[in-house]
Amino acid sequence: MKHAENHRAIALLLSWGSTLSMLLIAAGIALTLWPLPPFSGSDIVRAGILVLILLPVARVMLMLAGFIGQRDRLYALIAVLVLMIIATGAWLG
Amino acid sequence: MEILWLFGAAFIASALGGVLGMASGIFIVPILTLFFHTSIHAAIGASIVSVIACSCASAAPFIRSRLTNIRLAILLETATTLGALSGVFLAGLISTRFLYGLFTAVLLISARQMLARRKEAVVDTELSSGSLASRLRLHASYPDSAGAEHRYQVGNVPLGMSLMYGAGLISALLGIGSGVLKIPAMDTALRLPIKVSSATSNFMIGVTAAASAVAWYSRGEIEVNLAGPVALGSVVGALLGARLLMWLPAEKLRLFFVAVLILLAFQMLMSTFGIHFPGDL
Repeated sequence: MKHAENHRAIALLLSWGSTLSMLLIAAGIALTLWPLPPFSGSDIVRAGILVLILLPVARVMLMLAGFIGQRDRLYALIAVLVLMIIATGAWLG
Repeated sequence: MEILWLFGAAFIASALGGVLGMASGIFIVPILTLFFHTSIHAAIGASIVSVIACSCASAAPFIRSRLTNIRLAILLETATTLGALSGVFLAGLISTRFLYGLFTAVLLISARQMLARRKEAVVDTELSSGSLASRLRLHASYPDSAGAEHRYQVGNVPLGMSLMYGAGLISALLGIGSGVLKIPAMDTALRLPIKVSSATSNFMIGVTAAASAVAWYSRGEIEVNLAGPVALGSVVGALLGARLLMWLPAEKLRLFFVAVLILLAFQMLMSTFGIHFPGDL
């Protein structure tokens, strides 16, 4: 059953994470159209985009935690590999 | 005011695509370059962000109904992210003209795929315990709407992985989810049931796109004021629009999309040779 619980956590992370980023982007756009100093609309949009880009990375980390919890070494290793590939892109990007 | 136009364009593309269960990512780059006159690089950066958004926002119901094969997804993601990484490095060496040409080809492939409907793969093999897929414990089952369990097996993993590498590469180069390339890989090489293959492909698209988006972001190539409204419009369009537009006749819409894809392919081909129209919007 541990398996199913991790699936539920992944589903929750993705739906709440994308909702948060969409709210940030919407708020940022609203502030760009109707400025309200000292807030910067594009900074808030940027924050929303960052949440979005990092969301799949967080999802892989959560999967990694799930595989470790199941003592599934092979798949934990595979998840680490995916994270390393993404990190290489960010680092050398 | 351009923000609202960007939002609206992404909303409409995504809502219409949603009726056919199709991701709108492929329309974003042509819309941005042709109608908003952005550079193709800025368009790709904005598009990849909206691809992540659509994948993440729609994933939860598929995971809850156990259609997404999580193990298969993470395994194939090693190939798609590696492909994306290669795409990021190749992008510096490739001319803008080549990108337009490649995009033209992908638009035409999409049009063709839209015309030919997907058929369920015929499962003819017995449980072969020696296959790589068996050793990796990839076979699984999913419940149908009546609650009955359907067991399925995963086919040729090495072939599937190589095709996924290609899909990741194209995804990074063009800023698309490249479901259009993942689906043949999943149908023909891995022989998954259609529902499982759609759910798993959609799940993987987010990580694949993030692999290149992280790199584009750290290069400073993602224009926030372009990417923000486009991502928001795509997600709202996919969530709301599809529901509002369900009354549209799917068959006519399918033909309309084929026509639009061919038209956009023609426009992108013109851009390949440096001819730009329709001018200003």
